[in-house]
Amino acid sequence: MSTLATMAPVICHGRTVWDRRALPTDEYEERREIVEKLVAKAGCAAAVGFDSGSSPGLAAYLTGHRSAGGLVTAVLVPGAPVVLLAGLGGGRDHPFIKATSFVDDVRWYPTPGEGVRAVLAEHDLSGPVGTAGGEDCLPADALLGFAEALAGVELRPLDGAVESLRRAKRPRELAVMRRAAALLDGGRRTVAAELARGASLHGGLVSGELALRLAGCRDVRLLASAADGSLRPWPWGGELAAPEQATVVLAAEYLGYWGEVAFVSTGADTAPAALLGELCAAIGPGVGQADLERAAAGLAGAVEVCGTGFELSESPVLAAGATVREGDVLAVRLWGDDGGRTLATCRVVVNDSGAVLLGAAPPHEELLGGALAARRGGAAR
Amino acid sequence: MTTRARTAGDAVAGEAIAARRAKLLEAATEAGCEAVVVYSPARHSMLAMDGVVWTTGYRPMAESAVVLVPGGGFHLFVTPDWDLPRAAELLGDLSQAGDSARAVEGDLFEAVEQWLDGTGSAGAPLLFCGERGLVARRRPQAQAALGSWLGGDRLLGELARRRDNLELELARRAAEVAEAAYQRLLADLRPGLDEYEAIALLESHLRALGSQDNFILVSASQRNRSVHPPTDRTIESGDVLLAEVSPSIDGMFTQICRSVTIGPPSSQVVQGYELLMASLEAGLHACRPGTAVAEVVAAMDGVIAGAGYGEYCKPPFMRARGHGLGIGSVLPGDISRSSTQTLVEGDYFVIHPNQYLPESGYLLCGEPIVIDAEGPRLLSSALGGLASVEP
Repeated sequence: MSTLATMAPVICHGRTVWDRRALPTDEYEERREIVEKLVAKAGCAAAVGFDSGSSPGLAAYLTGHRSAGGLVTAVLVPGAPVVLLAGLGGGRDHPFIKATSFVDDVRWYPTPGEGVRAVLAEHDLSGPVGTAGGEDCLPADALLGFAEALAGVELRPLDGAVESLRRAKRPRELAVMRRAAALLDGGRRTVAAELARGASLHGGLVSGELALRLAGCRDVRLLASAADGSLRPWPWGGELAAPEQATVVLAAEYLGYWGEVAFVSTGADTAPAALLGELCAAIGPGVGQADLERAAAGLAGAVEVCGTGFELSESPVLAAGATVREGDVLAVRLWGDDGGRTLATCRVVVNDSGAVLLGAAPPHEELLGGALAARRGGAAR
Repeated sequence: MTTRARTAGDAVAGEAIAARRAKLLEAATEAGCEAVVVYSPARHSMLAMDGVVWTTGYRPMAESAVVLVPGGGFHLFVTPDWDLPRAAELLGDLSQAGDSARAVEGDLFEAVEQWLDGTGSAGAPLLFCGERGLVARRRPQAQAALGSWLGGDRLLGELARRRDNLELELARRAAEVAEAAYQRLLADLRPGLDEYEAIALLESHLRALGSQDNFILVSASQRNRSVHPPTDRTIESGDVLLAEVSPSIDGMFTQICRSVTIGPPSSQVVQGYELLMASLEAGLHACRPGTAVAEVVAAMDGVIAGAGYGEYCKPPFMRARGHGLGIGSVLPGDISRSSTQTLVEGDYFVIHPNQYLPESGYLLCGEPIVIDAEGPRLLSSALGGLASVEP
């Protein structure tokens, strides 16, 4: 059983703001200091972070700018403002990027290598440069071209250090993620309310997405049961299941952080939902995939636990051999033993002794089941 | 009006998509290859081609691949494994004996290698399409599994350049959806709505009308510097709201570009929009098979420069005079001065003289067109005019 995937839109296009109440300037100043220490510890004179719409990383962490789709490169020279290489060319979008992120110096160059070289030259730097994200954002020939453009400069990988840094979410990040969870709860209630009023599942999902976008989410993804019971991305899945037999997964990105909620109708398999609490109780520092599979053994289908934050699924991925650490924020997903037709999910924050829920307890079938019971009662009248 | 997603059993679509695979296999054979692997990282972009979508109609959620061998049908490798029912249903009656869709639980490239091995095609000269989307971290696994290959991205883009009837019908339907959703948005617009609320409503209309994915830009200002993603800015009386509306039907994107004033438009906005419309019409007049894209741009720029705004016909005051639309081929690419492309019959793109002018600010107008033998054919119902709504 592989990971939860969703159908990403071609380019994220929802509400794009820098919420200074949630993520004030000092948040980014603190992050920059932390990264500067990381750079110094690695013996580097500067750091380069590559981000894309599907692989946000150091650039987003330092500046708050989330790529809508294309490549973004952040250049950090300790003591100097971060330089962001972004845009499709021409600089039409640069004022907007500056207005919506913690970066004043936004430039465009035909290749990231040319841009980074120019920035290093401005500071007369020739020492080692740490890089992160290149392997996940650039094709091999573009990465080679970057190295060639910086010929004579030693490049040191910082991916592991950046990944480690980003795993333990900062207090303000947790607050934003809790807010995202609350918005998703609202989205779920909207879907349930529409179904109770007699809407089709498609109509309910249209309303749910609208509610999430009106609440300020930039990106929304949905999965829903098809007529044959399989879970599919909406709206690419063809004919949907009847509302009484559906699993729905809502995921949304709010201020750059992802949340998700899954809920099922009373007609569907609720085993995963009932077992989620037991699985979460088994999570703590040092726990790995095998430990959690033992905890879920014989009770449900596949167990999927991974980090979550900038991406719906990110490091650590327990199935890839990682183990849980204190400070991790994890998406816990329990699939039904039915070939991927049902799913229960929640998010936890790991402390020194275990895990606590991030946000409210997952509601699973209670709310949707109650709404559907009301619908059936209405129909009977 | 709703437009349903294509489902299994659509014979016309099946024939068109099968013809694409046959064309690709023929080209690969001419290039000396004995198998084709088409890779998708599932990082879909309206401005980039996805070969898996083009060769199967299936839009993947995660890494996937299609393998073609002469006389051996096509084989779709799907991740995540639980997405197989969707892929299988979509392919359904579109497939023939020997075709298959299979779920991959381990590494995609290892699965492809094992299958090629099983058919005796392992090690045969291979055409690999999708290299541009293969990130550096995945390349070693791809090369370990498949060995060396002939890069096929350029070949695939050229093969797919002339849109087939299925794509044009989908583009026409997508344009209908775009125009209908835009009209619904006009009914929603009012002072007090935030930019991001306007885009949420527009997205909702596009979904209700059957669009499966959208790229939208909506922003508003008393005088726009550019068009950008929506913020918390509240729409006010006197604003010019800009909307790039790009829905898709079965993977085929379209785009209309519109400008609407909240309240009566100022004379500067009216004059600016008329100038852009004149530029658009000059561009349409220039669009013929055999015309260089740069000539089309020169015709459009000439109208604007002739009105005294020549210095604004370059970034940051504009970006391009149009562009291709995926998720099939995106040729002829950007409609820009630096393009080296020449228009051919079957080319499909949006033509838009979107432009900043000092008196009016940035304005949008643009339409999707296909190049027929005799010239451009509009896929939207009409050229969009400057709209206004009651404040």
